[in-house]
Amino acid sequence: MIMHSSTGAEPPAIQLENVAASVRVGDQWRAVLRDVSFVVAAGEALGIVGESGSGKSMTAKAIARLLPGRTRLTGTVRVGGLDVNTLSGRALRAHRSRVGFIFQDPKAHINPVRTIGDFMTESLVRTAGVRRREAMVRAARALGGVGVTSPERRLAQYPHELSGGLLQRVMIATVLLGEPEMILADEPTTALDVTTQSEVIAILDEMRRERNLALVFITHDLELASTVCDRTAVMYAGQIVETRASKDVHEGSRHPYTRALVGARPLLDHPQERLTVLPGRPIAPADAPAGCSFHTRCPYAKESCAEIEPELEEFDGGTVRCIRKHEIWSATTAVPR
Amino acid sequence: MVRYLLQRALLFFGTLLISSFIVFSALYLMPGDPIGNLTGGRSLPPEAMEALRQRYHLDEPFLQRYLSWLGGLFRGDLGRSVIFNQDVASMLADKLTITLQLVGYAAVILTLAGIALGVIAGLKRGVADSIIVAFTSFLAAVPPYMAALLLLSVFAVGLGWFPAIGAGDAGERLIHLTLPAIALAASSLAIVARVTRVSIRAEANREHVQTAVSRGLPETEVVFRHILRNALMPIVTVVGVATASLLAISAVVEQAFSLDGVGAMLVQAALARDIAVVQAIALLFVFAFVSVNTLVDVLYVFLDPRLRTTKELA
Amino acid sequence: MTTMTLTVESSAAARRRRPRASLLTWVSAAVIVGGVLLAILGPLLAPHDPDQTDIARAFFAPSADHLLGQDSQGRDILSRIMLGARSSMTGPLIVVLFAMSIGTVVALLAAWLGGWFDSGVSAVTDIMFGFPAIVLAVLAAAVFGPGLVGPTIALGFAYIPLTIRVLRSFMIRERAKDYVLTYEVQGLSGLLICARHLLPNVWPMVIAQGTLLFGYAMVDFAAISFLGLGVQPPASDWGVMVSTGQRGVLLGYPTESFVAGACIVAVVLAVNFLGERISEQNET
Repeated sequence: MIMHSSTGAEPPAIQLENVAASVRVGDQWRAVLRDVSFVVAAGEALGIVGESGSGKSMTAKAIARLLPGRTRLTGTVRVGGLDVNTLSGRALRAHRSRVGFIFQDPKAHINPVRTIGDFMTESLVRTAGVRRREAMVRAARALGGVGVTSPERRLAQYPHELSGGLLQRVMIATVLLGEPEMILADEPTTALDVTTQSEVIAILDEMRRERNLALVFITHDLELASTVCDRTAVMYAGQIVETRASKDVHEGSRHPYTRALVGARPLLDHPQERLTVLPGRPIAPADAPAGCSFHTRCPYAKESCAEIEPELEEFDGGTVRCIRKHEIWSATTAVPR
Repeated sequence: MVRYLLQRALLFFGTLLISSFIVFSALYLMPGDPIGNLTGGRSLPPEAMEALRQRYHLDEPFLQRYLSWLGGLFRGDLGRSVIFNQDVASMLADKLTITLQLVGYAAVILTLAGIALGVIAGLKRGVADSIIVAFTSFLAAVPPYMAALLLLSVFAVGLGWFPAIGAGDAGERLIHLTLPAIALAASSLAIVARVTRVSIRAEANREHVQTAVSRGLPETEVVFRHILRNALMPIVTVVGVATASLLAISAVVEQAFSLDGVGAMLVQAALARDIAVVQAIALLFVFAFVSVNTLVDVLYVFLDPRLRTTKELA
Repeated sequence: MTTMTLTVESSAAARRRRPRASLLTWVSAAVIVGGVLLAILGPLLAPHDPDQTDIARAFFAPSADHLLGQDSQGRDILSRIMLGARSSMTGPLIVVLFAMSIGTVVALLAAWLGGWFDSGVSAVTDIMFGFPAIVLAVLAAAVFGPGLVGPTIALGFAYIPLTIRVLRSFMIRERAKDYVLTYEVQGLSGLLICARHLLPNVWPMVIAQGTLLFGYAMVDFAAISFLGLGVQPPASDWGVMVSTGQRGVLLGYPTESFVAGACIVAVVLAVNFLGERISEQNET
């Protein structure tokens, strides 16, 4: 079931319906995404939260069609109404440049043997046919826009001469140069220290509002997602297990996994006696057990949880994938039985 | 960067110096009287012997002789062949042309074909890759003289498409040198292709390539500007090493195709114990070898900007 | 994505790690064993006298009596091949043993002592690299005259820097491993650690390198003989046969050169293949 966040005649910026994907490893197909559905409207920010291996990066790559070579995809991925998987050649490249993808580790994602200027202007010069000098001017302006000082000097430098935080700003500026219609940010601040993190987040947020872009923000940090995004989606073992308005996540989340995540990072004004600890380790999508993928670690699991596969359904103001959601949460109290 | 270049220069001259010393002392390693060796056991009239003694400063201490020889080299005096009674330098002139053309031709083949095959195999998987890998394995196993004889047998004698002997006159040079050049390049080509393939594959998996793809750049752009460009360092290394070795291997191919080049001259001189010629040519080979290698090292600096700011090569 | 990548890779990696003594491995081993047998028993197994000439039957095609035909002097090619195994493989063997023993010791010392010794060794090997093996061989031939002695000495020395370079990097990595540290901390002498602990772990790599070197040596030896600077005709050496067979090739009777060349290539391939297998299995 798909959650509609806004209605209108225009198609949503991003729309995923029951997306599943497998990657070929050796002679087998291993699932990396099992069931992902969500909608993001223009100007909206959706945070996707999950632990390593939950499939959040793969989701972003599926949107931009950057999945590794031998991958099988089912379900639909629509960007601006277009089915992404039917695109090829020039249309595909145009689609990719419409989606601004910000990668996790800028040092690894920028070509080390070319200058910053070359990196930033490459797309403009080679595909959009902009003259080099003009492109450089635009690049310098973009750098200034993200708070980089002496941009002309930076353009002549090489990646290894810049710090991680600075490189990430370069990455963001470059993405914005391409005038994208949406931004997919895959853990953009994970490789940075905390102060730089908040600066980069601020820039992203500002840019999004200025240009009314759809933003998909991927992170393992629930708090971060809640702060930056309007809505938060939680992934586990290749599936979305909950979506909810960010402001409701802390008190109002209803999936046991989300509750555990929340409980592991108590807020300063909501102290807890003990941090929540979940037994076991995160499961790769391909190794998910029968029934509910989370049941092996869930404190509320019953026998039926191992047999029935839950669907993502609307519940209590958001969507939850859990067959026991009504039992666990009585409608009148916010406290579990 | 300056320090790096300085290191390379030092290595260059150091190697040349020591090599020249080894080449020179070889004469004195030979059993018997140096004069006897210089004349190759022939008996010459006393004036000629005296002239030889003077020419090679045989009355002077070893080190001084070495230095005189070195000095002579710088002046372009490569010694004199006792067998042909000619200055080595003038003997070399024509033969050098042939050898250089052969080596140049082979270098072009191994670079272009090797890199092309490697890029194709590296980027595509499946059938194309398997074929190329099998082909290069085969090539790598066949030593130049075998390749030469094989080509000779099949294409020259058997099919008659190419001449079998000699380097031909100016106009026909290309045709005459084709089979030898292929034979010379064959096994090196295989290695270049292999290294290129591995290097391209590794680079294609790098994250910055994904960035380029994510920006909607066309495939050719991505391949040339990001994959190949970054994979160049190991490729340049192997092309450099292969080219540097070409000169030494050329002797074998020249023998097989009866080409009148420097290599053939070297072999004849060695068999005839014509020391001066052997020394001069041996040193020439070493010089070429070391020069190419140093050139490759210098090229690194231009290929990888990270070398310009770090102090030493990792 | 660490967890996922790990789970995705480990089964594939596990599958790869299972050793498969493939058909190719058996074939290679068979070739080498065959070669060694020929080297040892060659003269006894040969159907004809390898030096027996019969000009009237020069260049005759293979027949029942002469399975591989006859060469330019009418000699039986098969017998010459069988006899040639000995000289074609002995020289390289000596070269390899020589270069490897010196190379291994120096590499071990460089890896163990480090510091100025190591830098010195690196500098010297860099310089020695500047000297192509063939040039050294030609020089040796000029000095000592053609034959087996000159090239053997020359190649022996020429291969030392290569050996040192390869083994040194491997040994440095090995030396840095924790188990060596635990021995050092206990106060065991360097010599003891090297001999009893480092060497046994490094052994497979040394053997692998040795086999590769053997392949290079065979090819280089044959090249030198081809040039006429090594073993001289009318000896039944494979390299010599390739060389003397050249006349045959030009006349359209390539059997001698091709068969001899094929033997060289076969042994080199087999040896290289096994060497790669050994180093793959011991990849750390």
